[in-house]
Order: sequence, then structure tokens, then C-alpha cells
Amino acid sequence: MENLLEIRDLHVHFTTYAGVVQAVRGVNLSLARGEAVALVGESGCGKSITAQSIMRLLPSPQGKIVKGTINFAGQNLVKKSEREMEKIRGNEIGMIFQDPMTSLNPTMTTGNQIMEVLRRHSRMTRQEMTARAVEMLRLAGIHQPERRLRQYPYEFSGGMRQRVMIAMALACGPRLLIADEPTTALDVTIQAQIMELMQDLRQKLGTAVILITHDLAVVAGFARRVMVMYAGKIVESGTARELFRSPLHPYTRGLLGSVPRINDRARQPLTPIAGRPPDLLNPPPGCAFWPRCSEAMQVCARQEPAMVEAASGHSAACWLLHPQAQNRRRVG
Amino acid sequence: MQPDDVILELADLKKYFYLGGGQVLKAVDGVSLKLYRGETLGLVGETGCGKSTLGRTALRLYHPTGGRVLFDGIDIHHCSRTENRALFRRMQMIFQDPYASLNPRMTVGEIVGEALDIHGLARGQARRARIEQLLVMAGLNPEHAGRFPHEFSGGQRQRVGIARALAVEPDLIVCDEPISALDVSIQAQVVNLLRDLQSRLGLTYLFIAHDLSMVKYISDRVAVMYLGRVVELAESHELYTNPRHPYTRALMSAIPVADPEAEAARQRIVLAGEIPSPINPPPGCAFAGRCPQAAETCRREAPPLVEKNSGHLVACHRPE
Repeated sequence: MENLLEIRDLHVHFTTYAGVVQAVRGVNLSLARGEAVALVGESGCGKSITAQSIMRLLPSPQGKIVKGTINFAGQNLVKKSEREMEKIRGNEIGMIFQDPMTSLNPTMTTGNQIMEVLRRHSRMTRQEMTARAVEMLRLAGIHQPERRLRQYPYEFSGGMRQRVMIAMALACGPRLLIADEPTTALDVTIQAQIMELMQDLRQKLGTAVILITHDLAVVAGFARRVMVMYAGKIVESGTARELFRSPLHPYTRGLLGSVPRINDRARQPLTPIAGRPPDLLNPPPGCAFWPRCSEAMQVCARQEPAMVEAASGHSAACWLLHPQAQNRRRVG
Repeated sequence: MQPDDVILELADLKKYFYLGGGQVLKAVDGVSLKLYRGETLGLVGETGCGKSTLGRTALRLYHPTGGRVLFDGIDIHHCSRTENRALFRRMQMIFQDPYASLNPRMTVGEIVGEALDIHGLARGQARRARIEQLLVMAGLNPEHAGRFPHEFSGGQRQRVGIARALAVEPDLIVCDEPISALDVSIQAQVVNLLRDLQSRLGLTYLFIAHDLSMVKYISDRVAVMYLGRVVELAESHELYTNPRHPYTRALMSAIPVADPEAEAARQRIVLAGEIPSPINPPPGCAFAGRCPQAAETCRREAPPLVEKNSGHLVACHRPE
């Protein structure tokens, strides 16, 4: 079956006073219908910019897709006009953001905000829209939805607002939901509730989900497939099971080594990654990770490694996977 | 760590905020804790549970509504001016937001040096040398002294905050969410630095955070707060493997683990509802409304924090 979303060689540049920031540098990503994938990385790695590119919500005029295609259900989103995108956003692709405090309109009732989406994309009558809004709030686990519909965002807690955001994003039954750090601003017990809700709705409604997060642990329970981004590129991609058990890229290993294991009695010292991510104004030649990599070889500084499939469905962009580096890996 | 060498003791500490209209926010409501010299006590809990207020009251940044804070046996809220000054030198704080806690108009050297000036610790050449030494201790370069905070990344700014706290050679540092604003790989760097400094300088930490796995990693003992009170306190491994308060159990089960198989196998206790408002909280156990095991007693009386087995304290009428 054809993939729902197919991103090929996406490049996004930002023009700033200091120069051109190469925020996304050749991202390839595919997503099947109803699938859940996670895009993981640290701040500035380009994960949110990738999401904004799909929605065509890049800050204008600074941000620009300079190369690549984004194929969504057979149409190239890069070529769409703003008018055409308006029909897709909220209708075929829904999005939820990190901060539910600032992404809701404080002067509108939650009911009106959900109905606004429906008014735009459907021909429902007012009664049908109200009924749909109530249904969505109930699906999102909000009690007494008829009453909550008439309330304003300030009357909701953080977790509840995120539920409203989810209800709104899914109101038109989109085929794809992009969740950009949906639980980062929430407490762990609320985070658990929201992640469970997203998983539950995904299964019920068959919506494909791209989860964007910096938190590897959140990913482990949610996505079947995980992609790790670094300096504007996907450096490793595989099933969650494979990626967590046998990470291929030194950066992924570094990320996993930076998080303490909750069951570790001996308190193994954390093995952080030295240094910090490169400046994407002047990305280094070769592999962007080599200045921080403890296993870097000469070739890493000169030439960029390509994505190599090391095991079925598990690939990484690292010179250590090159046949000639096999001996070196065993030594290291 | 010596079990009887108490550096900081909180005795029935209370901090209420009066909001007007007869509303009282009981941010900290009767907390008793002891911190032993050289240990790290983790303080965890969700937003609004009072953990930051507790840390700030313990440092005299707030005046308590009731109860006492004893630092080396001296009541810090009722002591003479000279004692005060000496005390301030011995307790320091590292803040959550490395962007807001450094003065953008001062160089890093001035920020770190200010502490030295206030307490008259070093002058001239010695002052400059000390600043450089502190920056190096915090993992920065001596040349960084002449730069401004905006020239640094989040992790480096947090290092500046650490250098500033260390300048006065404190015994106790309250770390209020010191890593939550940082990226994962940088968090580990800062935590390793804090642990390293602790073993070199014999520091005592009160480590406040909501990231439970990081708290477990850095702490010797961990206290769990819920709505202004400590509901459970134990040695960190004991708390994580054998939580006895229903809230702690739910909290532990909610921690995501970076391991898909463990995630799939995990029995998650998803709590209904959210934390009730600390303004005019319900009588009885504050957790009763969300507790799967709540009984009649729980709604009437607040359970005291009592020792269930050696070193493991629980405030629950019906612990597991």
C-alpha cells in the first residue's frame, strides 16, 4: 500500500541576520496509514522545523523549504498554495503543540474553538457541530463535556487544555496527527494520561501519528518506529525495540547513556555526550557529530556518511557501519 | 555521611500565602525533615506540590508561617544579624532557569565575583584568581570571565550558576530544578558535575526536581511531596523498588522507561483526576480524592508521617 506521507530530501533554510541557518539538511521520512512514528532529538536538531514544513507553517519570510518533496496522500505539499494548504490543515492533518496554555485562544470558549474547525471544513449545521464537539471532548476524556464546552481555557488545567487541543486537532477526522512535544509541559502522572489517550485514539480512529519529542522514554511506549535527528538530519532509524536494544549511531548511544536507568541499583555513572550540537550557520563538513564523537575516525571529518541499513529496517548514517570499519569497531 | 550529623532540620515547617478574600494557599503545610551532612536529599512532586516553596523557605528566601528551620542547630529565621550573614555564606541556591537567574548586564566574572565582594572573601589579584578557579571547577574556561551570559548556551549558563553558588564555599546547596531546562545530553553533564563537586567539596544537596529517574540517580534519600506535605521518605533505591504510599506508587508507575519491552510489560496506575487546589484543601488526607484505596478515615484525618520500617517513612492510613 502507498504510504500516507513520504518526505524526500527535505532541506529548510532560515535567513537570519547572522546568515543562513541550514535547519533541516536532507530529511527522508515515510509513514504508513495509521502508523505511529517518533522523531527524537535535542533542541535545534530540526525536528519541529520538519513538522512545521509538513504543515507549511514555517515562519515567513525567514524560513523556506529550499529543496525536496513532501508527499501527503498523493499530493506534494511543497507545491501547494496557501489557499490549498488551508483546506488541508486541521482537516487532513491535525497538529498539537507543546504549550497548551498559549495555543488556545483565551477569549473564546473551548466549544467555539472546536466548532471553528468544523465550520471551516464541513457543512454541518450548528446542532451537528455542537454534537460533534461534545463527542470529541468526551473522546478526549473530559467529563461533563456539555458544560465544559461553554468554558474558557483559563478554567482548564494544563492536562485538560492538552485534551481540548487533542479534541480540536481530531475533530475533522484527520489522517495524520502531528504531536510536537505534547507532554513536555506536563507532570508525569498527567503525561501518562495524555500518552494513553493518544494511543487509545490512534487505535480507535486509525489516525497516523508523528510524535516529536526530546524524551526517549516517552517514545519507548508509544511508537513502533523511531527516528533520531541530529543537526538537521536523521542519523538513525529503526523499530523502537531494535533502536533501544542495539543502537547503531554513537549519538543514539550517547543519548541513551545520558538517561539514568531507573532499575540501576549501582548508580552507574552517566556517560554524557561531550560538547554541544554544531552551529547550523556553518555546519561542519563530514559527519555533523564527529566533533563530539568518541569513536570518530579520520574519514568522519571529511566525508558525510550515508544511511546504511545494518539490519532489516534498522539503519544509521555512520562510518562505523562501513565494511572497512569493522575491525575498528571491534577494537573500540 | 554520618547518620547523626544533621546539617539542616525542618521542624513542622509551614508556609501559607494569603490571597485575600479569606483564601489561604497552604504551599507547605507542616513538613519535618532532616538533612545529613554530605548527603543528597531528593525532593520530588508534581507542579504546585510546594517543593520549590519548601526549598526557598529553607534558605530564608521566604519567612515561614509556622515551624522552624535549624541550620547546624541555629534557627535561621530568628537569629542575630551577624549570625545571619555567616549563615548566608554557608547555604546557596542553584536555580531552574539559567536564562533568568543571571544578570544579562554583568559579565560572568562580575556575577561570580559579586558573591566574593559581598562576603569580602578576596580582592585584587586573589579575586581574579579565585574567579578563574571557580569557572574551571564548574567546567568553564578562565577566559569566559569577560563574557556576558547571552554568549553562552543553557548548559554553560547553568555552570555559571554553579560557579556563583560555589564562590562562597557553602556547605549546603539547594538545587531547584537545576537541569529541567536543559537538553538530555547536557543534563547528564551537569548532573555528573554536581556529583563530582559533592564528593570533592563535601557538599550537601537538597535536590528539587520533577524528573524522577534523575532524582533517583543523584539522591541518597528521596522525599515525595503532595499538596504541601511529605507523603513518603526513604533511601532512594528502597523508595523506587518498594514504594508504599499509593501516590508514590502511581508516580513511579507513570515514569516512562527508555525500553520498549519494559514499557509493554509495565502495569501503569493511571490516577484519575489531577492535583486538587492547594487553596483551602480538603480535610483529611490530601490524596484521598484520587486514591484507589481511600477509606472513611482518610477523608476525615490527615495521616501523620511515621516510620514503617527502618528509615522508610510513610504518611498513609492504609499503606501497601
